[in-house]
Amino acid sequence: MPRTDRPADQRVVVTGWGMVTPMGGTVDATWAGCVEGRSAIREFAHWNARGLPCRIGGEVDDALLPPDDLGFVAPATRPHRLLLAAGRQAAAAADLASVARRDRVAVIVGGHAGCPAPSDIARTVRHLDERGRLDIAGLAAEAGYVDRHFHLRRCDHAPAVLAHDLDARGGVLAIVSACAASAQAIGEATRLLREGRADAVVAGGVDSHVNFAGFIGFVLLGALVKRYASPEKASRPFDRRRSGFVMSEGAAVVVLETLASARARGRRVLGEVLGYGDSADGFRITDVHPEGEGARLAMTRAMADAGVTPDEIEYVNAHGTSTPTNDPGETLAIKRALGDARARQVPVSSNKSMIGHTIGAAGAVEAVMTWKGIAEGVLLPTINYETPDPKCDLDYVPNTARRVAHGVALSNSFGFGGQNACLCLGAAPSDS
Amino acid sequence: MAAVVATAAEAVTGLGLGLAATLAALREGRTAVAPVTGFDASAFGVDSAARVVALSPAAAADGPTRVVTPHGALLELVARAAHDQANLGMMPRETIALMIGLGMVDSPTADLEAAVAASRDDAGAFDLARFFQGGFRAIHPHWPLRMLNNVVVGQLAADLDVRGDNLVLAAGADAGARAFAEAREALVSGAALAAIVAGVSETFGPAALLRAQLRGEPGLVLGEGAAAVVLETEASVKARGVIPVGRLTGAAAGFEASEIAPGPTAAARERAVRDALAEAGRRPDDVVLLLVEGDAVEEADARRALFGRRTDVAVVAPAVALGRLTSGGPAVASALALAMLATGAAPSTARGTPRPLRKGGVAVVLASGSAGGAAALVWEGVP
Repeated sequence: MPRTDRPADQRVVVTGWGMVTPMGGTVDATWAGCVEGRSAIREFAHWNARGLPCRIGGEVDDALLPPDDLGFVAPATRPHRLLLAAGRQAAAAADLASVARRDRVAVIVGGHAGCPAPSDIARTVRHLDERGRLDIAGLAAEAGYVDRHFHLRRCDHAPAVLAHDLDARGGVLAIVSACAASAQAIGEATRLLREGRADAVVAGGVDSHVNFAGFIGFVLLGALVKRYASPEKASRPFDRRRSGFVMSEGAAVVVLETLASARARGRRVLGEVLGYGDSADGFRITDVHPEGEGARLAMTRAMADAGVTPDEIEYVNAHGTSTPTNDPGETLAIKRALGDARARQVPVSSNKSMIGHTIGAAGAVEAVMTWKGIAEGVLLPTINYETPDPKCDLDYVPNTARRVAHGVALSNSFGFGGQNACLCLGAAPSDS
Repeated sequence: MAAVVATAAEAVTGLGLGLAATLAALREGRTAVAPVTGFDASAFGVDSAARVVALSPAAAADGPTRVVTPHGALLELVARAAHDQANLGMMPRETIALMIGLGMVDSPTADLEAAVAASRDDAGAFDLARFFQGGFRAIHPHWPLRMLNNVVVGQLAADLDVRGDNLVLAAGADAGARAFAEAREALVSGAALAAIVAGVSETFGPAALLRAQLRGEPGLVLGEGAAAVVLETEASVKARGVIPVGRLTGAAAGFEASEIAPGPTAAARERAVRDALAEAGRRPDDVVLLLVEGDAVEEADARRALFGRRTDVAVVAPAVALGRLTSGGPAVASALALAMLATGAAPSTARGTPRPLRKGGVAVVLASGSAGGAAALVWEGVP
């Protein structure tokens, strides 16, 4: 059994959540789209990707976000606006404002700040000499560029703005471990709360790389989808015809507190963090471990932290990126973590088939979708699963959501570069 | 929370390739601050920096480690040295955590030069359309890796073959201090038996100088440097029979900004120190050594609120000689604190006679990030 025998001040629960994704501006909107098996992937509308080998992704509707001019930070970058949109929803749902000790409300966010826009790049290259060398003095003298550059690249700036906005004074932590970042944010928040070092933690992730500069880095890495019949069909985790991941943007934020705190505040509990595990591949920065060793370690640790056995795991929300290497590696890691026989009984699915890969936000997005699935008794599908891959031979909940009551799940997040995180998530305690 | 034990510490700074060399140079009153070379820095408010000139990043990159950034080379150097000092080689690899405070990672413009050259139109002007329709393919192949914050840490994990708990935090000094707190949490929770905690400054270059200027601190002098400390549980130290070099007994953080930049308020800094001391079971009266950023009036205000007019607290601002090391600062300050507690003396920032430290006292490292975060660590020596 999960560690429900832990005292209430050692059990960490969710009392509020918020989300903006290409599927919609709230958790419920994203959830509804995913239950229907819709794809949020489109040809890019906000910028011209002509000339690039990949021209699709998941963009958030600008109308869902706060304005550019936030007053205390101007101009706000895309990550600022995405994170604030999700963070404000979560804080309102949890009635975070009623937590008395603001110095005991912490913020932990995974994400990697913004990217220069074409106008920034054009401004920069105006100051390149005939040999391509940057005239830094000329650039520094040009008003506007430098200020934007400063705000764009600071990973801790958007989390600080969120803390400022929510009057959270218990410390801000910015985690930058690529696609594992926001799962780690939730995991580290859990540790902080268990140790009594905070009364509430606003945890989550944000990223927005669906723009020229952000996108090109991933094009050069060869990680993005290379062949697709249509945008909606491009993200196809575990399918034999997958050819890379589809980039998206978004943010997801949860308010975590102990079960004792939630009860004392009379808050509705939405789910529980049962356990957290992370690891380093310690292998190669550009390749996943061939036997999924780092991923296995993270899952094993999350289960151990939760006090559950593989037989108690009823669902795995996969990292499931749709790249040729991740999906078979993760399949193998799940088999090694749960045991081959158990792994074949446990449904595994990937939200990225519908939402795309939100990078630093993915772990938090998928944790919330996992909790929501537990609450609703629904397993989200892996859409675009059409041609089985012999190396990916588990039950991936193909194409259609499945109504199945389940109470304990794993949510995997593996970062490019070799950081891995896994959250073991459970239902809201029945007496909460 | 239970204390954890430090079993190794190493540093590389502009004053030396090692903790001992850095401390000796500080005692002699030397500074690493010198005019910037390699590019024209005359357009910036400050054209000096405290760079690590003794280490060739290129040489490190050519070695077996395949480190792709200069600050990755610094990180690798200190982490490996601390790993070896603590004799971690015999420990199961999945029990060793890696917690890193990582300074800002910039887009290296030099990596783009070939692509820019390939994107000029017939008149020689840069053509953005040409750039995105193929010119970008001439970008240096390491550019995407250099842009990703966590890659140097992934490389370090591979080089040291450590597979335990890990975290990469960015980008200010508060993040560097929080790496220690997170490591301690991992150790106390049983997620790891040992942790290599390291911090490294941001990549140095024109962009870093631009940011310093933008932070509203035109007099800020940046530095390059890194340090690593190995932390273990008391049980691990006893089981392995290693010799402790100190103990981390308290850690706390606060956030409050009157504006988002340039740093935390005095109240946030003071609260971080008070909470860290309380956690260590100590009071401000127990502090004999305070290592600070020396970055703001708010820091001085916090110091006065904590210690009043006491003269028996040795206040050291390593940045005066080492430059501001951002995320690397707290690790360097912590390594220095451990060495100073061990020797019982602190160098004087003002090049005076080294000051003896009262026995049984504690050292506090106070770190502040430019986005409004403050964090404090409490270190104690070995009896």
